[in-house]
Amino acid sequence: MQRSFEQAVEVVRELSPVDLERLEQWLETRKSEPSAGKNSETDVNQRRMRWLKENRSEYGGQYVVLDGDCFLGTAESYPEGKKLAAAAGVPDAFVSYLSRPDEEGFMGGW
Amino acid sequence: MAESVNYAASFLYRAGENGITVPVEIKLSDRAAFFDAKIDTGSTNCIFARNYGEEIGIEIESGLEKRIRTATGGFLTYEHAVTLSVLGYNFDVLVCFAAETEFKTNVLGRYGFLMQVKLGIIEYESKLLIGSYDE
Repeated sequence: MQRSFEQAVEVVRELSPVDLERLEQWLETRKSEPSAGKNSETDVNQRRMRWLKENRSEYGGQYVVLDGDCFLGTAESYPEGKKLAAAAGVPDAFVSYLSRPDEEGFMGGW
Repeated sequence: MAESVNYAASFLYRAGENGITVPVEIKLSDRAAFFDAKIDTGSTNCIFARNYGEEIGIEIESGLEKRIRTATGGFLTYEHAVTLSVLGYNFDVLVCFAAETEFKTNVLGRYGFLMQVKLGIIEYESKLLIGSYDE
């Protein structure tokens, strides 16, 4: 079962000081592993794609603003989405138009 | 009323080609694919051949299904989040990969590219002007 970030925070809050220190050491070790950055980038992308697929029906037709797979809000336009991201303290958040499940794109044809 | 717009960079495209073609890079994690794409103001999306998505490790059919209509019909694509790099500008965006392997056209459209930049075209000089909206 996959837990959300908020659930993980609740679990961490209940840890004893000794276990909290062990967790901090584990996180430090994980950060220094050569593949840590690569994995986290892939993970973020996969979580983002999962969120987009799961929420397309609800938020399709709008610009969605995501920090990883953490939903920050929706906007009517790209500039508004960027403003929302900046206001949330995540200026480099993912801002993208999410099409509705039945929405067609258009291409002039080459 | 006259308006002036500043662009941070310019690019001389090949005048003899059909369309305005620019070099593109797409990245996912540590994998990258390089190819040429045409700027297409009439296209809603950035649409690329599926082999470039596969080259960076994407399982094409796992994306967001999106049908693209054309003047004569349409075709199926799947949207995926990638890092798109064009003329020194990088964007984390959704782009479409064609489902059919026969589809070999690559275009940079509104969502994912035109929406992210300021763009100017001086066809007389085969010159493309580009800048970030914030610059």
